[in-house]
Amino acid sequence: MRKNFRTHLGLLLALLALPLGLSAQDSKPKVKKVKVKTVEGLRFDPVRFTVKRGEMIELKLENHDPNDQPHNFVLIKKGTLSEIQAASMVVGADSMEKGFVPDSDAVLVKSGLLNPDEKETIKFQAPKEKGIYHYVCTFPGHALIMYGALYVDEKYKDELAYDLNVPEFVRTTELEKLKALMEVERPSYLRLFMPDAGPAAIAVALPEKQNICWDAGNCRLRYAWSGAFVDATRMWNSNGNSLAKLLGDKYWETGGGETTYGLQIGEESTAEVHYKGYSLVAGTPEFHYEIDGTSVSELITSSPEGLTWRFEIDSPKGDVRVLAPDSDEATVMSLVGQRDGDFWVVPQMDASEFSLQLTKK
Amino acid sequence: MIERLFLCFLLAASSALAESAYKVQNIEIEKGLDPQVGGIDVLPDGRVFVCFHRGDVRLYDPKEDSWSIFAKGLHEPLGIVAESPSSVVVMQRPELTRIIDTDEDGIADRFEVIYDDFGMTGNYHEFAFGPVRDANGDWFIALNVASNGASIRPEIRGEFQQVGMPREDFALEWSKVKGKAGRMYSRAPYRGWVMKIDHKTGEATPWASGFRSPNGIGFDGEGNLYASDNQGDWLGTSKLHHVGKGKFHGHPASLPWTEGYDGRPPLEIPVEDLEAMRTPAAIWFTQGSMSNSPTQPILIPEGFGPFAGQMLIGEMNRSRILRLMMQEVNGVMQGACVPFLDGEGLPRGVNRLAFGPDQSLWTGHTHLSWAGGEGMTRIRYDENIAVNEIQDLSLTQDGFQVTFTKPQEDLGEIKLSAYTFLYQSKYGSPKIDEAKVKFEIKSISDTEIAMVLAEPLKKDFCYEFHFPSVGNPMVCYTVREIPD
Repeated sequence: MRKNFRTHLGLLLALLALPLGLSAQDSKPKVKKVKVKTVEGLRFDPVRFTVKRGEMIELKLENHDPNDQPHNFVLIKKGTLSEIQAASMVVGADSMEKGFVPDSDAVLVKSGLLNPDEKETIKFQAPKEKGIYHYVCTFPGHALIMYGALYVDEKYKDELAYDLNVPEFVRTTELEKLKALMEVERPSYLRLFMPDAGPAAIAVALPEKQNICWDAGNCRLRYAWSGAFVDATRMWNSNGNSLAKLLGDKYWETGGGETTYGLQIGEESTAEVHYKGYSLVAGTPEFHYEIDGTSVSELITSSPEGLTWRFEIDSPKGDVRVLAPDSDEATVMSLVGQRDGDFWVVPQMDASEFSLQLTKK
Repeated sequence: MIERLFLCFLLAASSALAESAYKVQNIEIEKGLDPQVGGIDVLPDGRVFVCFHRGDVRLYDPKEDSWSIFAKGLHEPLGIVAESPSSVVVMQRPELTRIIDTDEDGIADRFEVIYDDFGMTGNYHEFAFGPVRDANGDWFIALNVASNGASIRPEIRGEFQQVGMPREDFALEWSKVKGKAGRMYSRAPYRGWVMKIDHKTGEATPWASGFRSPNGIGFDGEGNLYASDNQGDWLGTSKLHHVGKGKFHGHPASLPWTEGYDGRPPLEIPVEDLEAMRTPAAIWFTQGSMSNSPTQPILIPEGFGPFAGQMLIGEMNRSRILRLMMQEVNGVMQGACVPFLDGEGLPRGVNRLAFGPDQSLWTGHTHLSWAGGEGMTRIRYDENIAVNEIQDLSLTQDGFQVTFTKPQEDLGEIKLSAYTFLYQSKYGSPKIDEAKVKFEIKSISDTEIAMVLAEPLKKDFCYEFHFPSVGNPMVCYTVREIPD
């Protein structure tokens, strides 16, 4: 009864509105306006954007390429990028006439071929199926690197620098921007959520473009990478949820998880570690902790070959086993002691002060 | 009617135009630094230690208007206590840390853990707040619970709490299992607790449980500890808790870390059982009108106007600082809140407060991507400008006693209503049983009145007043106990 009344009321209101022209305007579907520029370096700008499924798009294409290159905008079916890239390379007698758009069922939407400083507005309906689509410039030779990603009812899963749906050169450019942004003094350090470590991790930037992750949860060195430091921007631009990303190449790690310890002193397995903090030695943190009541200091510095990993142990009660595996890209050894599987074993008599050398191959 | 309206307009205009006795000065923060302030404290010499969102601790010298870097690289520091020009104690995500400049070159070189024996799952919502010191020098901190806006990380620090959803389920597709985790969850030790740490031995005592997001702890002048908490699940509206040893303050996620806990998953405990266990809030901050996200309470010293001995508390969502008027009734702390500064050049996001040796108030602002602000201000009191506010509002057997900071020629039409809030697992609560309350005014002196209610006072109700003749007309009193 009530519903009926409402329906009638709605109808009545609609009828009343009609003569004023309100209804006609209201019922017009919303159009999303997007501007896409083609810019220097065979690149779409934006190189990705989001739309809702099935919505009407009014896309204004502008060719800003200063290098006298013609460009078009061709939206293609999901998963057909390589097919269209290949097809666009084939130039036939009628290619010019067809604006260099390949004859293919994969083509969903196409613009004309624009010369520099030309504009065109195309209207189309966004795909009705959600997912990530590509738009391509099909002028011969362009499609291999000149494409972008249309996210239909999908959120970006990652920053542009890490988005595999955009061309590699775009990712590289973005990554270089991040590296410049994250350029840090060396040595310096940052405490933040790090990948492949516990939540109380410390990232240290060392000279010689060396970097390490030290875990203050279980008091041990987790891994090393070379090159730029970390991308902390996502953490900084939020409430801190994001994991940092390494901006260089990880070449060595100790492995294990949250219950793995880095040192064993004497015969008994390590039962308890207590993190005590760090002091700065010429800006580099020297970590302090206790293993089953024995005080340990650990200092990792860089060397031209890799890392120097120094321990000071207060009256070690036995031989010291350091979790220090070799990797495909690095070896770990010392002047004292010997290798035993993933461990380097230092005899008790030498264990109050010793260094390991990590050499990057 | 028109005359009345005109009068109201005049009153409103005069209170709006009246010059404030509290002047807000914006403090310029160095360029190139994200100016979200996590903590702020002032040295006896007037210099100000500030910690920032991106992990810096910097020292500001107001005399020189200059900044220097004391330390860098901390993980989301959200509180700082300045012990000396060469030593500060900072609460950062993973630990309570003493940061020392041992060679006195102005730059810290030693970072000593005071306390890190609490759990972290890597969930973003596990913030750590405080520290504050009691009269003995012992530390108090508050640990946030995790939010099911995210899962836990593959590696955690500390023991995993087995009560409730199994750990392996936390690795499943989060949107499908998050409901089972609880809206807010505490799966690593002492999440949702206030902790006490002995300053000599470093030994930690789980002090009180039942917190959700206690972004702000502080003492009053009598050594009572307070913690604010934010509207959400089990919090019908934001609150101020009078923190007591062994007390449970209402949010059940933290309960499994209680010594001798019976093992019931918190989500399965009937509300009646929780109701019987909990200590209700000392003050409710009415959502939408008073405060949406209260922060740090701080005692007002002598020399900052007429309110010495009361407390102030920050508010995140508005350009507002609130004032608290506590009252002990039948051994229970309860009381009233009123806006203290509203706008007047204050940025939003008042996160941290500290008084300097000259009794000026320093504020630090943040947002952490929620509604808030950024930057720093210094607020000074000008004793030459009269303050026209509610001096105090307290509960009597049959109503309220109200004192004003100055004689009131015309009180205008005082309004009073009352309402309560639900205690429920759902997020927030509407105002419940809201009704106007009738009363009679008895004048005691030109600065004091008694309001005698026409009906009996109701426990667990919030009484909301509007006094049109003062600068900040809205005052709310939370009734827990009624004087015998």
